[in-house]
Amino acid sequence: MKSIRRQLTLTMLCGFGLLLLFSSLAIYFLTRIALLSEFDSTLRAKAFTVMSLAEQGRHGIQVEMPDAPLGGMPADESSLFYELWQTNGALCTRSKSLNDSDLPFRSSTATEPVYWNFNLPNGFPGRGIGLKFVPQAEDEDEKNITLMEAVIVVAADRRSLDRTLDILGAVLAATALLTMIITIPMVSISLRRGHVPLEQLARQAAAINADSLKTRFPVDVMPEELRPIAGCLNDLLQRLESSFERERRFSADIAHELRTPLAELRALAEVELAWPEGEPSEKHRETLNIALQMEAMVTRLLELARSESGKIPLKFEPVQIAPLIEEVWRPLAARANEKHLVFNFDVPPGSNVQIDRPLFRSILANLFSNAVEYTPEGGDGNIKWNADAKALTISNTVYDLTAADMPHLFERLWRKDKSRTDREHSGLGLVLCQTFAAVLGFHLEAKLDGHTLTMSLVQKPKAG
Amino acid sequence: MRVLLVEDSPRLQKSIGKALQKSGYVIDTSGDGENGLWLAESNDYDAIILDIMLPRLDGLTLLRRLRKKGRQTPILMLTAKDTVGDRVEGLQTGADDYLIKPFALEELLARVQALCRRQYDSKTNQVIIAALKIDLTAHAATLDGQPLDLTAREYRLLEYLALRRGHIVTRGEIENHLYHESADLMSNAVDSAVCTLRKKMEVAGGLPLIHTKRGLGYVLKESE
Repeated sequence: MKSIRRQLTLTMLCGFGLLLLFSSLAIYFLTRIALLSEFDSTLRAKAFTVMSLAEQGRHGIQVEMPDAPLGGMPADESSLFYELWQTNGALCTRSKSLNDSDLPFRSSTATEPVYWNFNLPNGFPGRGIGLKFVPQAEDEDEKNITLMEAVIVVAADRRSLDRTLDILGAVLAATALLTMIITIPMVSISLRRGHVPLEQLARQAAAINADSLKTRFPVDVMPEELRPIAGCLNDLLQRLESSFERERRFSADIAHELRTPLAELRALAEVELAWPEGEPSEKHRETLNIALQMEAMVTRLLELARSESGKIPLKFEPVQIAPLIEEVWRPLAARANEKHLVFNFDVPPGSNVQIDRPLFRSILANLFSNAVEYTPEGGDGNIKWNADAKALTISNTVYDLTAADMPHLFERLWRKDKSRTDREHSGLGLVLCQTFAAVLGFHLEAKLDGHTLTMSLVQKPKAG
Repeated sequence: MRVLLVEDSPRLQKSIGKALQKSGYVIDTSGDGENGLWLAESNDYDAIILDIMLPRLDGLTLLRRLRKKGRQTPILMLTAKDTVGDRVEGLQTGADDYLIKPFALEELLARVQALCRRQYDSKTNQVIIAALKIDLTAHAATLDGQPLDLTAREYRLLEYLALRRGHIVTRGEIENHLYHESADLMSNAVDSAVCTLRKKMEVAGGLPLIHTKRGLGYVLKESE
């Protein structure tokens, strides 16, 4: 799955790594250039010193090294490497340190000497400078001597320079590595922290459902980057809330508008049944039944719309649960007996619950009626009240339901195909129960275990 | 009993009208509020069945205006507006009863009957005056235990006089309660109806209970 955090971490680390690499390389090469320049300056100074000591006489070109070391020259002559040739390559003189070995012959002008690296005769890496010059005459009064051009190559041991560069390279590499090691978790942590508001936003968004469309995201306290998203989400919620409200109003309006035609239909059927005018009354009885069925559905739709929009007036009071259950069951007992159903009641006397009595009664009536209606002939069931948990469980045998039906049980107008032919039920009863339960601070859920359906009506723990 | 039905649905007018007529009421109907108010002000009804959502003048305004003018006719609001708030508003505006559409016809008739009874301070469904016993629900009367064979109009006349027993009932009042607004009455229609009723009661063998107050009207009581 594509992760913005992972992508950002990778991009940031790659960018930072490249930056580190380039800056380290820049530092290394700039330092190297500076050190080489310094080294070459010293080498050039040495070369000029040797050149100043070189003299031409009748016996050729000689270099007279003084007893005391000159400025810029090593105290130990063994570390000074130089060699002088005539321009035709004939050796004039060389430093003792060369032990009869030769330095590479290479030259340039005095103003633009040539520098290059090579191995010294002692096997160590060295760097040399080569240039052409005209040594001074040994005796200035000697007029017969023709001054010749000579080539001098002066070299120095390069190991200290290389070591310095190696150390610099190692320090830069170690610093870069350490920086990367520290940067990886830091980038990861700061990105994670930076994403906290985004995760909070996601959690808040995930918690929104059809019942909490009034929720709005606090745009003012959000990071600048999230404000447009939160703003858009707020706009979306506003639109959703409006359309849900419109839909609810529409349901309520349509249910309300159906009241008058239903009244017309019902009154017509009832009048014809009471004072028939020759028509067979069976048709009017059918019409009346249809009108009554539609009336029940319209009433439920209106109740649902009102309960969802919080328009049902509630009066919470302590209610004795045992007498209420008995009162609701009483009218259903005859039907249960007719179907030879055996229902066991486990309701401890004296238990109170803080509820709106009519609404809770309506839930019980619906659930009990369903239990009696859908339990097959000769089946059994249990009605149990848990006084501590304030929970009512109604379990009964059912053969029609399967696990696949369970997610649809609380959907509006859902009925299992077989039951669709049953005009007594509108498919709104359980939705209404669930909505009423929510209004009363209860939670209603259904579980199917084999052929046993259990409806649980449990009081939600009070917040705080 | 004369009842005014103010309802804009012609189908409901027809059904409720038929049910009330068959139950022995005289019915005037109006499809809009303005006409309904005019009828309610011009006639003396025993009860008014009033819808709220009406053309021209809504039911609540009609009710308010009627009560403001001191008219105390019992009014039953018959409406699709079913919330507690709607019911409270209707009753506080001056309605005596409130019934929500759709309704059971039986319940409507029972409520209208209760309202009419209240008009005459009667709390039961029976009126007993000497040997005369009237069952207001069954719309039947007996004299000395013998059923009186009365037409619907005769029964309505007897019931009206009985409900106002001891009080003089004018011819105009009888006309108002027995006949439609639009009925074309002959000048002696009331006298003729009273005469027929008296004869049927005499045949049944009872003592004369309907007495004439010359120049004023009639009174039903045990003896002069």
